[in-house]
Amino acid sequence: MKTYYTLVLPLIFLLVVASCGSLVQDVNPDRLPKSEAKLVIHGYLSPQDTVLAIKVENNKTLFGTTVTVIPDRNTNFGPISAVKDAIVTLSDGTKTINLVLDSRWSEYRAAAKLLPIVAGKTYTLKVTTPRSLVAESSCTIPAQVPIREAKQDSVAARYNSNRFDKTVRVLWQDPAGKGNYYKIEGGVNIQFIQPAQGTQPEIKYNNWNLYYFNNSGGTGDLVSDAQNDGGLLASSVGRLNNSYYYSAGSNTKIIKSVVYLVTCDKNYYDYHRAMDMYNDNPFSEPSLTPSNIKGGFGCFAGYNAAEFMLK
Amino acid sequence: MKTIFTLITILLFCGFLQAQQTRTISGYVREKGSRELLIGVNVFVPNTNIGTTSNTFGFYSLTLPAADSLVLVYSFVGYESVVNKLPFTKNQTLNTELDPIGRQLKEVVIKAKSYENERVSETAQMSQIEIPIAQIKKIPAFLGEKDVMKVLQLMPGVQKGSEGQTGIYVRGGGPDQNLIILDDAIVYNASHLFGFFSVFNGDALKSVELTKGGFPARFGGRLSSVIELNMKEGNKDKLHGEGGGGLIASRLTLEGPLDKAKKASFLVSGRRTYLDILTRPLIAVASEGTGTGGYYFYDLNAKFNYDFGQKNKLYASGYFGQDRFFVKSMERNSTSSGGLNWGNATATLRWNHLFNEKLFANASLIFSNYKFQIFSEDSYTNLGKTNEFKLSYTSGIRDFTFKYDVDYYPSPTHSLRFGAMAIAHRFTPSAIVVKDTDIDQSKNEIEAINNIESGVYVEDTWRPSGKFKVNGGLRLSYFNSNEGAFLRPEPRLSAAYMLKPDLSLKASYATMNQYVHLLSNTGIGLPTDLWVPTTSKIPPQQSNQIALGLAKDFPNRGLALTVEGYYKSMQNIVSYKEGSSFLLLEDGPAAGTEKVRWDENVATGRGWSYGAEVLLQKKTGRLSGWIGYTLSWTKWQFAELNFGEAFFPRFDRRHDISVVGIYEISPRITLSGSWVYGTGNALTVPQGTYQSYGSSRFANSSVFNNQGQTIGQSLFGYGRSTNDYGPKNSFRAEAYHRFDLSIQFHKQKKNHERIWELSFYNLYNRRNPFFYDITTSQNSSQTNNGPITITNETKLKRYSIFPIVPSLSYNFKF
Repeated sequence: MKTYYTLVLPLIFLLVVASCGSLVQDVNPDRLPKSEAKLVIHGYLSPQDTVLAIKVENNKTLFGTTVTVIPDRNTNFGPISAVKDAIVTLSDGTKTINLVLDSRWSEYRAAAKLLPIVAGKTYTLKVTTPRSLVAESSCTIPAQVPIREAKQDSVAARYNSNRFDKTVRVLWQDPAGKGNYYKIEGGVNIQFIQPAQGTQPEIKYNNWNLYYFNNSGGTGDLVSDAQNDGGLLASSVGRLNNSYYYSAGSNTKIIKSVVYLVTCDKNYYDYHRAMDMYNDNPFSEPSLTPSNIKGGFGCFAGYNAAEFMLK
Repeated sequence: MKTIFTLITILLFCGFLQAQQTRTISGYVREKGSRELLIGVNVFVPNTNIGTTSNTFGFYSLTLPAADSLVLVYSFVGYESVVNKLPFTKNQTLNTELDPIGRQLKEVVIKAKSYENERVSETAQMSQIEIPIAQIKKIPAFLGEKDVMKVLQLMPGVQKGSEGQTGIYVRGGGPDQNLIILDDAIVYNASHLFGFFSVFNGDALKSVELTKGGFPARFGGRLSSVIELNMKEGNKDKLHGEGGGGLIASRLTLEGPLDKAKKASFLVSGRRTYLDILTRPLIAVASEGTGTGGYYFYDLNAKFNYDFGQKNKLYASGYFGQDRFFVKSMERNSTSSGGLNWGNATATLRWNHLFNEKLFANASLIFSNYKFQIFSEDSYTNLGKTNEFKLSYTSGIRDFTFKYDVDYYPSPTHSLRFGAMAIAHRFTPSAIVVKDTDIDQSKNEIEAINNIESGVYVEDTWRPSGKFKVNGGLRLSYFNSNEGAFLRPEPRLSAAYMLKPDLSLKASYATMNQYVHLLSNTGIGLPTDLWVPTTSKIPPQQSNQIALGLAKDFPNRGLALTVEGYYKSMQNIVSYKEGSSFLLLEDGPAAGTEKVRWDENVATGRGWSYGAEVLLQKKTGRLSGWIGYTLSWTKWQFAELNFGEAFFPRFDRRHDISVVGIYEISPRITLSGSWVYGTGNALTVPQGTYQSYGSSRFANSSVFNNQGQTIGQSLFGYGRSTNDYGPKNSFRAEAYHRFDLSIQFHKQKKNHERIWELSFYNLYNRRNPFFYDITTSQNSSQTNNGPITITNETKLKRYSIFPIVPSLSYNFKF
């Protein structure tokens, strides 16, 4: 794709430039597409988490001028992105809890023990704000599907044939019945120890380096059983760039090496797929992002992750 | 006269039974001088509804009741009519020559006799557009390059895609749904220069005809239209030439007899652009002599024919055209080059045989090939060792076709056509060749798919009464691949009923199937658009179309008015799934992964289109041209696009207007103008934006305590800015309109005629949209470690490509 654009784009621009600059003009403001204010909600519930977290943000108009003031240079993360005065409730049908804003995360949070997340149960989320914006959604937690096998291998590194990338491929048995969706994730946790120097004590840095499953067309980490219902399913081959673990020396060690089979619902799958394939190139058809949030944007979905330790 | 009438009335009821009392007149109609065979000449008995038209090879045959004498009129747009009177007691062969209405006549006068004009109200065929090539050459054209396809776009029911593009959209169908045939050979990619010019060189063409609906059974294989182009055979009388040069290209055509008996003739025509020659020195200067590059295209048409006599004729014709875009740079130790090439090649061998005066047959052997290639070659020399890297990606389609068509004229009330054809397709959706000496790797992957597409058909033009004409037919199409076979019947019917003289009511129905699909992920007609076959995952496309219309002739004014309404439904039309792409050049499938089947990136859906078209046309006279208006709606629905909701495709166009006028100010000066208006394209443009967050077991942000230990993690992956586009294609581009003007100065010199043409494209300099893009500019300011103010300004920009473009060209004929 890249090669092709490098060849075609100069030609198109040659045509554009060969004419004159005024061939590019601003579109009259009254013709601009309008957007209405909506809440943007993200929340993913799973039995594996100890905390329930919901992101509540506003959408933004795209066209026009926006001015952002960052009050102090030290708070260089800028103002928090969350809507501050939302009322966020989560219910399993019998019990309803309130989530409160945790500004460190810019998320509305509650401890998972207050409302346990259980496979098969349906959870309803409701968000309201004083500006009378309302967003609602619900999701059902799928059952966990175990990993049968993880095939590990190594291949020549793409840009350095003297080195090797690690690869992993995950296999699992799909339960009968169509409509099962999966996401594969994997990573290696590497600890780097900076030895004590003078008065400075020893510092340990932990870092996750992730397997990259997005090879084929950008959505290789997502799998559905549409083509092989009830069969043995396999992920695409995940690849871990050699530069991470080759730096492993006496100062570094691998703490944990793990893959997850995330069994998710369709909304989760569709939303992540749309994010993977997101494309705003003006020469191709843009991809639309779905949403299961009534009255808003974003995604509220359930999943259930099976863990598999790699050797 | 009365006797004939009585006899005809009897015949109308008795049909074939009365055959022994009839006689047949048949022959060829040619142009006087060049002896070029004429297609579509009306041959009829005046003051009756008995008549026929000459076929693609200029042959006609009429079976009539025997009589002492017969009067027969031959009429054709742009030619003097001929009236022949002859005894008619036995079968007759009568070859006729028509004289073109030349400029030397000074005044072009429409004669009052009504039969001298072709009449739309008299044929059963509807939804058909025919534009004389001579008229096409007078209509203003972009940079003076006369383009058949762009003239067709000026007709109602036919639309263009984007500014300057030759892609044709007929009644809500895409540019892939047009059967474009040049001398019976299918042309797969009819565009040059990324769609700005079509591959057809007007100097080599004899006729062009576009059918939008009510398709005769002899055509099949595409859903929306048939564009039939025929090349000239070549002048049989003496050597003639025609040529010219404009701002970007030059053309030359030569034609003439090959032998003294004037049985054989030839035509050779070529065209080449010279943008590259002009830009090459500029690029060399800009790159300080280390680089070069450019772009050009060329076309070659050639035809040869041999006339063995009345019974047998042989034609060989071919087309070859290429686009080349290349870049090359040379440094001291390295060179690199790359480019894009694409082109069509077609070859047709046809043999006409006349079995008897009622039975005409044509056998064709046809080759067609379209190939697209993108390549890159690098080499560098280091310490005496040369490393090479080569990459080439090609895609294409190649056909071998055999076709046999028979015309049979058994009686005055019936003309039958039947035939069979078979195409052996070879699709190459992708072929990748990689060679890398550095890591001693090479790869040669060619994916080829072979299929057979075939069809048999029969059609009859039946005139049960003087007022009623029917063309009914059936085509059986068959497609065979190793993933299954499809056999589909395609009924066709068109009928005309004469309400009163010069006014007829017409109706038609047609089912069409299409077994080859074009995948395009840009919508602007790039050569990367890919032809692919029907597979188990992509079923054949199918359309059903009904049309109803009125055709009215105003013979005294030389005007023809048609009004038509249509409804078309389309099943299994194809589109890329949102976000998918075909070229895997960037990464290629990673080691160990299975290759993604290309047809898994394709979504199939349905579409429907309906509308009304009005055309008022004047083909001859001092003032000629037409006014066309189309009101239409097109919708698509794909399970995998726009979340399954129906949407307007990009080229849905509510209103489309075109006005074309050609005025012969004097025998030496021709003024012409065209004005077009079209509703803007339906596009997907963002309305707003928001931040999207995915879920991740390995979340992006952690909160650390003072010792650098994690005390908690976010449950979310990295966020990304996401545009809210609203429903697909819910933004309407601004309306498109443009006025073109051209003035031609003709002068007859001693041995040739020369024409200077000055033309203006987009005369009133309208900024028509080509595409839209969003730009954001950011400013930040800070005062002494105080607050930082960031100002973002986002605008929607409209990009136009052609302002007013004047051009001058020189043409000659001898």
